[in-house]
Amino acid sequence: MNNKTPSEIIYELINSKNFDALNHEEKLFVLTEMDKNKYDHIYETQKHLKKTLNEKEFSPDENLKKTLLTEFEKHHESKVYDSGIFKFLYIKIPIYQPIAAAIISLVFLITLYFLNGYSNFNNERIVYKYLTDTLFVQPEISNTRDTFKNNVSNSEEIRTKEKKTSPSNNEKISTEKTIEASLCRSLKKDSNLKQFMVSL
Amino acid sequence: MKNLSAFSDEELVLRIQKGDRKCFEYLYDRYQNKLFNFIFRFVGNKELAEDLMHDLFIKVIESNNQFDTNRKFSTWIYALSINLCRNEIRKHSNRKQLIAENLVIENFMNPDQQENIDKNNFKNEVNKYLETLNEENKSLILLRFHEDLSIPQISTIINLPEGTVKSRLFYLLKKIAVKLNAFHPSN
Repeated sequence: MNNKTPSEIIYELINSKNFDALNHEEKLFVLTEMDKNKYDHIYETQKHLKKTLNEKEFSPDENLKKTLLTEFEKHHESKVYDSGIFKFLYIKIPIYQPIAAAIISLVFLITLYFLNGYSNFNNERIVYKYLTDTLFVQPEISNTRDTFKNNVSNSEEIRTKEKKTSPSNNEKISTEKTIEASLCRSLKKDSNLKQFMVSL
Repeated sequence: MKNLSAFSDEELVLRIQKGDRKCFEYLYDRYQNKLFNFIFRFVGNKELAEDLMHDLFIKVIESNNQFDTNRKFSTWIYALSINLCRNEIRKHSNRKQLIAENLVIENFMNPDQQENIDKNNFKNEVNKYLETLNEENKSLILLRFHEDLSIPQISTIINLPEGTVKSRLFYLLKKIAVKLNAFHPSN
């Protein structure tokens, strides 16, 4: 009771009983705010107000109920379309969204197409081939057949190396090949060869 | 299946949301007079009250996500009615004229006995007095004395502390008692 305002307390009392039905403490409290007649007058007014306002004079038109029931059926019929596959088919989205999606897809595909063409162009490999003549001498061939075979089989490797290297490195490769071909004999060192060449 | 009268309002709303037509019909029957008279007293015009009743129950039909079934249906529906009435009153500038027309009709309805005249006079004065109140005070009076709702319910609907509701009701009663003293049927 202590936390309540006097008006709250008096409202609670008026709401429940008339002045004579109040206990001594309650009467004393009410008398600090108003006299007995005023309290009873408010009490009576409240009773009459309840009675007056509680009289149910009007009922809504019967057609209103029918209209509402029709609306109810319509609403729940349309709800069928809100489930399952219908839900997917009846999604409403702003028109700009599919247009934007189509434009983005188109731009993406065009970009992809051109990028693919460009990368194909870049993948074309330029192969430089340097052909060199090598003179092999018959007598020595029998001795160096295996070496020659190895040289021939290694020629693929050499060519690959040549492809990778720039033309300015060609001299170096030639030098290497000279060294590798050192199994051949020179005219100066080999007298048999010299004789052979002269006889020709 | 349970008899419909055994269902609480909230249970009925749950079934209505699932498309139960009978439950909707039953809930409408349960509330139609209470709400109609509440709205009628608020706006003072029968046609307008019917329109608002229509709008109100359309909201019940479409209440799938709006109504929280943990709340009390009566609290929700009265709060909704008050909002609808307030919006409508703001729209209609010629409201007072409509109310006056209705009051005249009521005067011709029961003119026979002196007691009835006194009652009608009191009723008319109450109606007139209600029209002078602002929307919040009018809601308080109607919810308490017309709908007979409890203080905690009114407090939830109007969104005011219970103490404030009681104090306001007391001051309103005091004013009404002074204003309607001459028309009091007991005088």
